[in-house]
Amino acid sequence: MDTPKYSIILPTYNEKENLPICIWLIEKYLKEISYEVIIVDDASPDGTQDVAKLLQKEYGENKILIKPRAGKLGLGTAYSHGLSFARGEFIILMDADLSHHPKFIPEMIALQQKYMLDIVTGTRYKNGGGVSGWDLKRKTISKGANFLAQFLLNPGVSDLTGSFRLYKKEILATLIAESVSKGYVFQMEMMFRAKKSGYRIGEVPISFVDRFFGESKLGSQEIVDYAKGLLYLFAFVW
Amino acid sequence: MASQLIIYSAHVVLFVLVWLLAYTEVVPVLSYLPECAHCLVYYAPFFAVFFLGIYAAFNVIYGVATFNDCAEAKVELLREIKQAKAELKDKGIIDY
Repeated sequence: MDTPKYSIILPTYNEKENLPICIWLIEKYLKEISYEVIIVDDASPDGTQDVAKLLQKEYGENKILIKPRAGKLGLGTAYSHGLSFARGEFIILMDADLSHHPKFIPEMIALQQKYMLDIVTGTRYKNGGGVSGWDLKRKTISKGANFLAQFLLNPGVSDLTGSFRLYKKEILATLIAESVSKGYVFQMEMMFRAKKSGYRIGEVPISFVDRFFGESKLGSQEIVDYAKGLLYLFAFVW
Repeated sequence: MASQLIIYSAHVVLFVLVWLLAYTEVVPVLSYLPECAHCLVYYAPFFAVFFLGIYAAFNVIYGVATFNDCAEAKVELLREIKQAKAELKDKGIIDY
C-alpha cells in the first residue's frame, strides 16, 4: 500500500454528528491527493469512535486511522499523539466540527509547493478570509484580541489563534515540544515560535463557519487565559 | 534574540531619554521652537499614549466594520452537509 504524503490529524470529543460529514468533505476535496486521516478521540461518550469505525470500514484502514486516548488530555498532546502515528511528510491540523472546510487544504498544499514553505496557516483576517455566525460582541472581542497580539508580538502572520494549518512534520514536532500553553494560546505560541525561529510561513484565506452543532465556547475565563498567555509570550519567549 | 518585552522596553527607554533631554533642556530643543509648541514637548508622553489609544480603537472599529461575514460559505456548507448526510445514510454510516 502507498504511504500517504499528507496526514490530517483530527482531534475529536463528542463529534459523532460532525465527524462523518467532515470525512466525507475531506474525501470529496482530496480525491486526487495521497492522504490519511488520524482521528484522535478522547474517549467521547457519544459514540464518536463507533462512527469512526464505520468510516474506516467504508474508506479503508490505510486512509482512516483511529488512535483513541483514555480521556480529555488537551490539544497539544492530542497533536503529538496523532503525530506519532503519522506517515505523511506534511501534517494538516484541523477541527472536526466543520468550522474548517477541507476545500482549503488543496490551496494550502499548492501554496506550500509553490514557495517551498515550512508552514501554511489558514487566516480569517486577510484577503477574503472571514467568519460566518459571529455577532458584534464576538467580532469585537476577536478583533481586539487579534490587535493586541499583532501589536505586542508583531508576528507577521495575520491569524495567530487559528488551528487550521499545514506543517512540515519535523517542524510541527519541534514546535509542539517547545510550546507550553493551552487552548487558543497554544496555537498562538506555535506560530509565534515558528516566526521567531525563522521558518517560512504562508497564509491562505479561509472562511470559518462557526459550529452550529454543539456550542462554541468563549467566556470570561477564555479571555483571561488569552491575556495571560499573550503576556507570557510577550515577556518570556526569546 | 530577545523577548518582545525587551525590544519594546528598549524603544520606550529611548523615547523617554530623548524626551527627558528635551524637557530638562539639556538639549536646547525648546529654544528652537516657538512658545506655542512647548506644551507639545512637555506633554509628549501623554500625547504618545493618547494617540496609541486612538490608533488601537480605530484599528478594532475598522476591523469590526469591515468584518467579512462570508454568508455564502455557510449556505454552501449547509448544502454540502445535506448531500453528505444523504450519501452517508445510503452507505449505512449514519442513521438519521
